Amino acid sequence: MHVAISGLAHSFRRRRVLDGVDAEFGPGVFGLLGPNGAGKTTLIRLLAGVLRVRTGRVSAGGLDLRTRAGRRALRRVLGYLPQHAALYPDLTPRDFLGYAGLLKGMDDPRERRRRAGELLDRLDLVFEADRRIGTLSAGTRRRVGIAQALLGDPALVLLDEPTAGLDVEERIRLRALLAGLGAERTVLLSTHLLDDAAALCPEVAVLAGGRTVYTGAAAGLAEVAADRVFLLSGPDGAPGRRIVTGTPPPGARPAAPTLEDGYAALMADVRAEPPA
Amino acid sequence: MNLPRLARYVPGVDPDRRALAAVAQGDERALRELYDRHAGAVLRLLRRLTSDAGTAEEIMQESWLAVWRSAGTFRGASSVRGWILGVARRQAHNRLRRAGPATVALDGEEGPDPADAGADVEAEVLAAAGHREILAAIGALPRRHREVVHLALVEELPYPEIAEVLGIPVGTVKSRMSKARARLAGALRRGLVS
Amino acid sequence: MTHLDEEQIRLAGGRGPGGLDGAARGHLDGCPECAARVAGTARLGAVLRAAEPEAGPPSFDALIAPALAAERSAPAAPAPAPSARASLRLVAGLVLRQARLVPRMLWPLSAVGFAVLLAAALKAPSPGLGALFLGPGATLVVTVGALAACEPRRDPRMELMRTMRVPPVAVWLSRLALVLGADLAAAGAVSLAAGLVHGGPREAAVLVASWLGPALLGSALAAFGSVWRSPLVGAVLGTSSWLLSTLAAGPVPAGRGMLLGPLADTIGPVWSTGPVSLLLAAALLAWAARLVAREGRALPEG
Repeated sequence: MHVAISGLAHSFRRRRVLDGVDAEFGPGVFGLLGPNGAGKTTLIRLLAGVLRVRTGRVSAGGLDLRTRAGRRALRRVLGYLPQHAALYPDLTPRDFLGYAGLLKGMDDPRERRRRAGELLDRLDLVFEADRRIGTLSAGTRRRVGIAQALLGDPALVLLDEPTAGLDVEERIRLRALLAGLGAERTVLLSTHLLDDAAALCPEVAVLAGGRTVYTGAAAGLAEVAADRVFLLSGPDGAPGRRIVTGTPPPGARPAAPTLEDGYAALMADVRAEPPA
Repeated sequence: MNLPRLARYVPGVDPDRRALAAVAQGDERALRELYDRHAGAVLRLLRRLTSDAGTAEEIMQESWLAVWRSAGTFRGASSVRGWILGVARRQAHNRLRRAGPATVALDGEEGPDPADAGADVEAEVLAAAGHREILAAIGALPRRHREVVHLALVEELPYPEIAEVLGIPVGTVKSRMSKARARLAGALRRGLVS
Repeated sequence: MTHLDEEQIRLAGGRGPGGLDGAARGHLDGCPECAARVAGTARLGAVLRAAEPEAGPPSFDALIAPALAAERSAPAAPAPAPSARASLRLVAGLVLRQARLVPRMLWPLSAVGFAVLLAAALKAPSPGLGALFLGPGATLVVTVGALAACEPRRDPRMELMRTMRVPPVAVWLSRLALVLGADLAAAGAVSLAAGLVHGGPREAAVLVASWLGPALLGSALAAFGSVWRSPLVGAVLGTSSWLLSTLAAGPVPAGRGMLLGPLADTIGPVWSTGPVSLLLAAALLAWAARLVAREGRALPEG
């Protein structure tokens, strides 16, 4: 599914949360990066149809999300995991997936059971499948959320901060899982964690202050800091890595930029740009 | 509030990349531009991979539609031509896989790789064989070898780029190339002797 | 120096000038094996290139433009609407599922409430007194049920539920239908049992009339209040409705006359079973459903 966003803006209580977002992505895993408050969740909500598109154009798979019919049609092929997804604590994952299947329009109970079972296997939830969700760990609950998002084999999957708040081991497990998703689907993954984005997304968009300040290959993001990264000795003699604008101080040695450097340089440029 | 210079990082002023970025935005004229520059290479590859010209043209059409649809996914890791060839190659593989057992048999996927005959024997055999024999031997190669040979020797893409186009590691590309040469030499030797 | 690798062989055998660095060229001059490889590759390349047919690709306008036009005009195929049978199965499944999603204490509490009412109604010396007790009692249980069934407006689960194919309003309605249906059926069963014990179907009808209107109206007010503002408002509206219906039923006729006098004329018809109460209840429920269905309801920030 191909998603095209053009000139998207959104206000909430007189505040411009999004102020001109342009992005395009097709099948595959696409990353949405940016600091907290940049508008990532709002963008995802607009794509999911939870918020109405009032300014700008958004089309997904040929469906126009400015219209009610478009949003309704998109729900049939959408999988969504919001940032704070409170699931039903009294249900088991199996029950919850069965219920979610019902809500996604699967009327055949056998079909629901089968698909729920499939996803429980795929997301390694077999052992926890019949324990109440309220008793499960955060990482496991997150996996239940992702299972629900994948139910019905949606063409567009929106995951808002799927790895936030998880410990290292859980993040690694989740990364392996997410990496396999993008084959025929379009997956949009929002995160403020650069290394997750680097590991999973060949292409990213960076949002800052409600605008897209970079869209392109993740590898290209490092190039933003090209020729600007230097290794210096700090005042206490310890080596430090700095992004320098203008002439580097004496004794500085150039270093190859990493993704973090590129991101930091981009954010510095954004902050330095005078308001129009 | 706009940051025009940060709006889109398209490295360099390569006209191909500019055109591809425009295609991603829905610019049909840019697609036309890319077609004019690269359709020849695409068709050459497809004719190498399929048995007849008609199929090659059909796959060509599907490939350019795929370029149109997925232009936004260009990662910048290869040249634009390489990327387009990769899209076309995937289309070809999908189509040919679906075509069924008859096509698979012609593919020559079975058969063990022959032992390395030695470089001088290879050269001797290749020098002695005629055009038609060489072409027949190439046609008998497994598809995965054929495409490497074509991309390396006809399109003259560097191996890392071929690796990007085919989505395989560079080492695999190189080994396929040498195996292809060995197979060719073996097939031609048998042909010449008999 | 080791022999040339594949890349170097390719470069050496290609058409372009040089391509190899000095060291590699030096090696090539002195190594027959590599020279042979390069020669072989060059010959291969030459043969392949020579074999390429002259005819170029078809023009863009001939091959691509028409397909592109078709692609751009064809809208995404809409998913087929579910069949009638599928819809019925969905509704049935949905309603039944709600049983597990309402507050867990609701079913036992309601059961206890109806049991108490049944006992009291059976033991009542006369149907009239039974009605006086059953009326407010059943109304209370049903109203509480409706209140419990209405999820708080700011439920964070709502965000996910809004992206489902089955919209939240359908879920809400099915939950309300289940709870109200079960409660009304139970109250009906109690009335029937008590009525039959005391006399016959006519007594049962009287008993039913003592709670049907007020129960529906009270439920509608509680549901509407919950959805419109908050469960607290719903509780306030529900409780007020219950009090008014109790007063209208009049366990204390004398007090009623004194306290309410002129008001009794207005309360009476509304808070008893009749067309007014039923219509009002239906209207309130419809309005509440509209509020639930409205897009753009408040979301938790963040």
